[in-house]
Amino acid sequence: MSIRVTLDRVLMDRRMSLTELSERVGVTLANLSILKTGKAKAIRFSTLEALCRELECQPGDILIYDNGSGDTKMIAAE
Amino acid sequence: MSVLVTIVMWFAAITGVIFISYTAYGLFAYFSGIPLDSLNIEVAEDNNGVAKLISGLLGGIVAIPGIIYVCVQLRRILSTLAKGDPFVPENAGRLTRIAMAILVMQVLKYVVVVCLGMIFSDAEVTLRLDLITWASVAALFILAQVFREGTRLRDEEKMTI
Repeated sequence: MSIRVTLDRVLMDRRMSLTELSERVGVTLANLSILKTGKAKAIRFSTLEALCRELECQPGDILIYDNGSGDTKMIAAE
Repeated sequence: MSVLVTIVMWFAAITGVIFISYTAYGLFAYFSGIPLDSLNIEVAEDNNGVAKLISGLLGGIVAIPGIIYVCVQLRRILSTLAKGDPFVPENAGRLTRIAMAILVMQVLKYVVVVCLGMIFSDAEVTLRLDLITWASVAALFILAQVFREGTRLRDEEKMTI
């Protein structure tokens, strides 16, 4: 999939557990786990908004477009 | 509903076996020269009677398993409904198989009629185009496609966070 979810990295930076995030955003742990593992097919704006609010980040910090050329690594490193 | 389908299925199976046996015996007796009065079968002395018996026998051989097959598929669809989740991709396949079964029965019916018409040239065999059945087949194919798309959309919705 060309859109990668980097929720685990953001969570690690914030030293927050997935359970805590699930309680804060009101999304079940199972659904957040689906999102984190990249199995989700779509994300609602309302979920994205709640995630950005609680993690104090931008959508681009959670979602990364992977075009397969290696540019993603550079973006992620930045 | 499932009970009704089961009743229809067993009714088709039992009456089918009786009908096929009856017609087969009638045909056998006709060719063997056995009098058919005891069986209450009236067969005309010309080819028309034989053609009717053969078409009845072949029709039974094709239609009875076909009806049972359709009933089995319907029961499986109904069992998913009873479990509370009928919107599964398997049901789209089942609807397609029902449509295919009806289509095959119709085509075989035409093949039998045409073949009998060619073998017994003096027999009264008429080829009727059953528009309602063909419309049902088309409706079932469309419904199966709609069902398939519906289950796909539901799966997508399920994986939307």
